Amino acid sequence: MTVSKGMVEEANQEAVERMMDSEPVWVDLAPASNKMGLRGKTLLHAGPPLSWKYASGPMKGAIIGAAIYEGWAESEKQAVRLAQEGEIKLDCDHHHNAAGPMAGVISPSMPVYELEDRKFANKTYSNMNEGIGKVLRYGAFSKEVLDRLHWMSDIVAPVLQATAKGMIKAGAGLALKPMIAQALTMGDDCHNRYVATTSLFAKQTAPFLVRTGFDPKTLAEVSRFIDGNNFTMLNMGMAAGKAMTLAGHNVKYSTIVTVMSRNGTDAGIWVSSLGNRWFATKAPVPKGLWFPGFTEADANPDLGDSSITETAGFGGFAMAAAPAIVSWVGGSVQGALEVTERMYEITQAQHKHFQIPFLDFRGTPVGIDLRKVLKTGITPMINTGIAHRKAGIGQVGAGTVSFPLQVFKDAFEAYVDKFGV
Amino acid sequence: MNQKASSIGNIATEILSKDCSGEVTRVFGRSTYIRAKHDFVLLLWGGLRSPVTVNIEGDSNSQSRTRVGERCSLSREKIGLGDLQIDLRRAEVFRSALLRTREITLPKGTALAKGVAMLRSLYEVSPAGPTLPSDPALRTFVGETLVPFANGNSRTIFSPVHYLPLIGRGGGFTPAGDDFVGGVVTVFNYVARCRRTRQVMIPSKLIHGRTVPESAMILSHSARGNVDEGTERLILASTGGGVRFYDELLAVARRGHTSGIDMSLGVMLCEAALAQTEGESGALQKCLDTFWNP
Repeated sequence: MTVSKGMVEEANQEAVERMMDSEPVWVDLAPASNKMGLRGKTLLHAGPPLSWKYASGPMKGAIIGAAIYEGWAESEKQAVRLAQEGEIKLDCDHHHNAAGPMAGVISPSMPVYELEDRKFANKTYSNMNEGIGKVLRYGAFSKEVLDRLHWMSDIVAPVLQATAKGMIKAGAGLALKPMIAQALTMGDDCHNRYVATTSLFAKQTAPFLVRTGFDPKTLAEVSRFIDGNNFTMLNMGMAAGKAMTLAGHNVKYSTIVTVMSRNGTDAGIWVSSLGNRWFATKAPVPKGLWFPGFTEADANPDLGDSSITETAGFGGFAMAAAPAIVSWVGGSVQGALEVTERMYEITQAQHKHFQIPFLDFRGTPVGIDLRKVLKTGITPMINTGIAHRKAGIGQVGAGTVSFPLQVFKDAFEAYVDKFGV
Repeated sequence: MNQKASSIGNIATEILSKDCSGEVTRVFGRSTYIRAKHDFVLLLWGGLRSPVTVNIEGDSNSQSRTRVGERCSLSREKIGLGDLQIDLRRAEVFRSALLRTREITLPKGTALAKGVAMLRSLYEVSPAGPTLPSDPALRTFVGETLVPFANGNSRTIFSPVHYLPLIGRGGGFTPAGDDFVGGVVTVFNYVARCRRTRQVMIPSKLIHGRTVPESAMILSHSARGNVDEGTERLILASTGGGVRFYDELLAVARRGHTSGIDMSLGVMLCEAALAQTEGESGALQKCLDTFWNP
């Protein structure tokens, strides 16, 4: 039997409704070993499956940094040897319901945000955001990078964990969907611009943060860290996106894309009805604006699980909501508007909760339909950071990238093989 | 405004070599149709090469003032259209590879049915909706022409009148029925030329008045193997013995509202019928079941 149009439409609507109905709430922040069961020398990474041999510079840098951070190695050389000899096991964030920006490396002792989907009972995860520039997720692993990670783990994480617990105890767990919905009306795209979201986070957590019992100096430090990093909420936003798309995953006959991700070497997708099978091809290099002293020649192919935001109907798909983002990723305000308009052509629905004021509060485009991508030739547009192609340097710019058409072709063929003939 | 052409089709070259004048008949975003000497030349900014196309480098803003009915001068060196001058001197000549013959190996029925399943799925998300699949004229053509041919009765496949009910049917600048017939006839005749067997001929005078002149022209040229490079790639891939032609199929299927799907459907069903005549039992029925009876 082959699939009829009605069956596909019904399945797609169900997948997208589930994505929109998902209700991720921040419930905890604790080590990945505790929350995700990460054991031994296992590191999770962004994107489709990857081996050390084929890892890009920034991915290798992040793996080296994480190995030193965990105490598995004392030097870059030792870390490389462990990775080369296969002592460090690599696995995808998405295989563990997690999403990490850029290299997306999560190690056992790194604190991870835990989000609980109150509607569908899924739990999703992401690591903490370090800021921009020389940071682990962009492949930097110098002492200052690792010191910051330890400080985040030792000082920031306990305070935020206590804050989350306090919010839960008061029955006011931090709900991500309304926060993203509000931030989109305040000029964020919630992928590459989290200025409003981070402010909302600071505002909503403040009453609980001050009652965590930590000393005022520590609380001031943590508050300064949140205030000083406009990307504080990127990772939690991604975990929310993961919860939403996970809710729409595994719907039989659905052609809706539920994961889009890159690891700096390959870019890959999942499709709802095709389970956890990756369809991957070479990752493209983003176009954008460069930090002083860097050019396109320095750029690594795209990486990160952060395109889970576009998959869930925000990020680049909501660029029309975030005109100021063009000063970060390049292009024009009109161009940002056109990106969103184009994305309506490849999606199943307009989001019930995420709206764009400038488009008369039209819902954001949500639910990428494989078939529409192939019919139109329009591929999803992603807002992204740009990493240096060499390990150890870090972020060199920000921009946009179009997801490669080939993965949609391959997935469509697999879909037809499974259901169509 | 001066612009340069990067490519010029072999048929366009013949027309322009006659140093004549032409008249603009259609203007779209990146293309302009010019009628000249009972034929057409297509000016295309970027895009695919084809036998009737002049592919122009740069943006298409220069044609923004072009109007239907406007006269233009045509020569092998230059096209003059209002204040737009297109230099053709360095343009390379495009000639379809379907004009050359080679060994043909048709795909298996299951591979073709998979292609048909892809097309059916893409019809479902086409903005114009699936006009052709629900058109009774298509079922009639398939039932009275392709099925008998696949079963060994070749009488109707060579009879032009069986194609005529589809000509001009459906929406789009090139009607869906024209595109479908174009797919059928193009691949049928390509296989026939390669094997030195009988081709399908649909005289232009029979088509005249049933569809728009530009579509009639495309149909007439493609029946003789003069096709654009996208169609060329699809037909070469699907008759070349390889098992992979889906990328080409999907590339053609992106054209227009349903134009590319309609044409590709014609190619797939015709190849299935041809394959069945060569012992690929039930190939056409497999495709039809996939298309109409999911």
